Amino acid sequence: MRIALLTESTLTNAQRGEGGWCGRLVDGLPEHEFRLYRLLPADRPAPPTGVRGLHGVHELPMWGRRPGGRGPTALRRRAYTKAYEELVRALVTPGERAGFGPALYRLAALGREDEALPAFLASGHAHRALERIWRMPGADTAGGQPLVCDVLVAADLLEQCLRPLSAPWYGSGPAGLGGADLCHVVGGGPAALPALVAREVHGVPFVVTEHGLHLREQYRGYRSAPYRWPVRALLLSFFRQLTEETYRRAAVLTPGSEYDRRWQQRCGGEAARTRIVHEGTAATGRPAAGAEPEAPTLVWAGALEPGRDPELMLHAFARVRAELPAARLKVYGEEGAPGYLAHCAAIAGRLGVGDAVEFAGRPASPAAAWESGSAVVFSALAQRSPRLLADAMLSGRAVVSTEVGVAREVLGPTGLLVPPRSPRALAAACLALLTDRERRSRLGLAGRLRAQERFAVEPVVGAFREIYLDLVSRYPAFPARPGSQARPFARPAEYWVAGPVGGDARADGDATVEEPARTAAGPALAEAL
Amino acid sequence: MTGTPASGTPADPVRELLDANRELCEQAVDPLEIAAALEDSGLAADGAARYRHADVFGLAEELYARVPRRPPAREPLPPAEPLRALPLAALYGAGAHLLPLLPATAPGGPSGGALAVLLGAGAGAGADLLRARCGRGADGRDRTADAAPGRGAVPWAALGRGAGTGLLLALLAATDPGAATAAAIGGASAAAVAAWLRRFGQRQGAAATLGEFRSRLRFALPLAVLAQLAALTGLGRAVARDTPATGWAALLVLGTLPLLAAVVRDAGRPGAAAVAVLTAAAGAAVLALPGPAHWLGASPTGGLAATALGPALLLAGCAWPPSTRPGAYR
Repeated sequence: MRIALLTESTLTNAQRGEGGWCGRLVDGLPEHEFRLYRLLPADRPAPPTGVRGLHGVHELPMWGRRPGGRGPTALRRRAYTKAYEELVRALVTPGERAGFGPALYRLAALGREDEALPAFLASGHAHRALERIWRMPGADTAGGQPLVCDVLVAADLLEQCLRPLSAPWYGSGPAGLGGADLCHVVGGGPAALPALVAREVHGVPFVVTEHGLHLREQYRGYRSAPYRWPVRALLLSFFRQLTEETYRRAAVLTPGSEYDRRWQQRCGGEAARTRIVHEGTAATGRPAAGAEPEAPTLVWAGALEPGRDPELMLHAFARVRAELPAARLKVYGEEGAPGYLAHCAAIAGRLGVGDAVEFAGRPASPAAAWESGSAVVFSALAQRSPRLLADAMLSGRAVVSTEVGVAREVLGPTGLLVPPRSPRALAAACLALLTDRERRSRLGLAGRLRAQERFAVEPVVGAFREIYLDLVSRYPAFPARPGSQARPFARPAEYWVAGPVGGDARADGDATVEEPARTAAGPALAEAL
Repeated sequence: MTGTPASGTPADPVRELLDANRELCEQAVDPLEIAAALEDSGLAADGAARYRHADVFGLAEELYARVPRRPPAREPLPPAEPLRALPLAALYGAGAHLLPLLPATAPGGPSGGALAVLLGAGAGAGADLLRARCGRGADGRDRTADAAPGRGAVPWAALGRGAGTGLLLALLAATDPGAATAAAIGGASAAAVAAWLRRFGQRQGAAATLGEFRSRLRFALPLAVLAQLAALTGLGRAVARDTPATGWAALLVLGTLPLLAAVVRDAGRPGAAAVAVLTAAAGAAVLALPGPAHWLGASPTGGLAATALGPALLLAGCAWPPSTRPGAYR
């Protein structure tokens, strides 16, 4: 079947090796025809996708400079303004949230007709409409009324976020989303906009895969953004409405962890349509780490920043050292906040463990980092992604972690969990591991097996093979045209994997399609038809 | 929760958390923002149970409901262009106008005029490029995003405007060198005044509504034009004292044209500015041909002023309404 992968460029870039997650998915499902649609930061050259075996790559510059183009004619401007006002009203008036989706689709429909949407969104007419609705009684401006500069900044940001609505992707030809059997949104956020529009226009179902929720990252990022309260409120409201609309319309949600699933459920993702698919990693094939070092050594890895809390590790290590003077600590990772490395070194010196702590910087490879210790410790205040934990478990070393975020579900019974911000508990757990070689190796082996089981690539590919087939069997093969009834099971699932013969002929229309499908799917099916 | 709370636990455990995170809760736009921040600070589902909530979201909603919203006392406004941009703009303006004047006065004649057109085009495009580079503010945002063409594209508008300016100056220099010098130096003040107008408009971003912004900016462009006329008068008195009345008229019109063109360009219509300047230049060139000037019997400088006056007035009409909108000062 034809699958459209929608993503923002950062997720598929080649730095994560072999095309990243999308690359592994495309490699694993060669029977399907993938096209990649990605949103790019403008002004910067696009990184190569790194994904092999794609049938096409379509790109849309999203951030930065506005593409040229004329605004709508005076007659059509009324319709544009009305739809835009509806959208803004849904964002700023708490009681009008339901209008978000319809307003979005209306804007998209207008933009498809005359391609004047970006120019309209940047025009003075849009500014006036935005201000009028934003300053109306009933709008949520508890944190301050918007000023002229807020209107300008917010209109700019909205224009950039809504750019995918005017992408030239919505045709029903082979390169358009209308010609796809389903859309797969990787990463959420604005990348879901084309999928929402394709679902509205062509009835194409879509799957949403998120590793690290886009909405949560927006909430975290906007706290330090240089915008005033009203702009923050409007934009975060936009992202929340967009996310809720996405979760509501998505046929299947596949979060990467139970922790993310809770957030998705909070934002309207139904439990019945949610299936957790762990992020597969190619590191499962890596051999286990070799012999342990001579001295009992703890390894800590991660960016050096307050959120990762290396200070807790140092305080705990001081207690470990008091009991076990031979113990050593290796800290891997680069500075996440300026000056934080010196700060940590000063703390280590003050605690009297400066000579036993080694700040080793960026390791040659994660495997080398894990191998250099007897046990691995994570002391972060928040663990949003299972990636680093899983990688450490795959080394076969025992893992101690603070019990936050995904730590419990990833480690399970194969590691030690301690409460965050508690040096005593962390030190006790580290000591328990360092002084008991047998327990260490037992936990390490169990952790490696658990990670190999959960984070292998094959289950991910298998899960999506099932999800894709399940989806197309529940949705009509040909979207309902106006006036005709959508028929589920119009095509059996086998039809879609029947091979390229059926796949090519499909575009020609109903009459010609039957024959190749029959021959390709075998005599039993032909009889049934 | 029935009965009295166990001894040792406070009756209202959320209170402590609320006091610790008061600023966060006051500035939050949504309960989910508080939930994300609480999770970042190490609070997990078990932690929420300590505050008698099933999960972090319920706790965040309680915090959001219990604290009234209060934005930070002094929120930064988007920064305006720095003051040092004004002399820089004057420098670029002077360069763009004095460079084409050199060949127009020294060799003179048709070859000097052609060279002036070429130099004017080059200098105009170069000045725009430099300005765009300086316009990238400290926050890294491109302020001239709408006005400037994309990277790698040929800046046709800037080239056309520069060429037209060069031709006008060459024609004026052929008949009245003193007035031409004054007009070219006036190019510097035109650029400075345009930069001041831009900065003034950016600083009015703190206006409450678009209507208030409009009323504050309504007389900014007329004032800017008056200031430019005053500067030109001063320059004319200093440089070209014994110029006839038609020469004065040409000086004032040609000196104001760059200001209006710069304002229209900044408002996001560089094409309109270039077309107006080129129209004026083309009209002046036709009048300067031996035939038409002879038939009309007009003095050369008078013809120049008359042909440039129409485009200048059109540009002024084209620049005034957008100059009262905030979108023109990005």
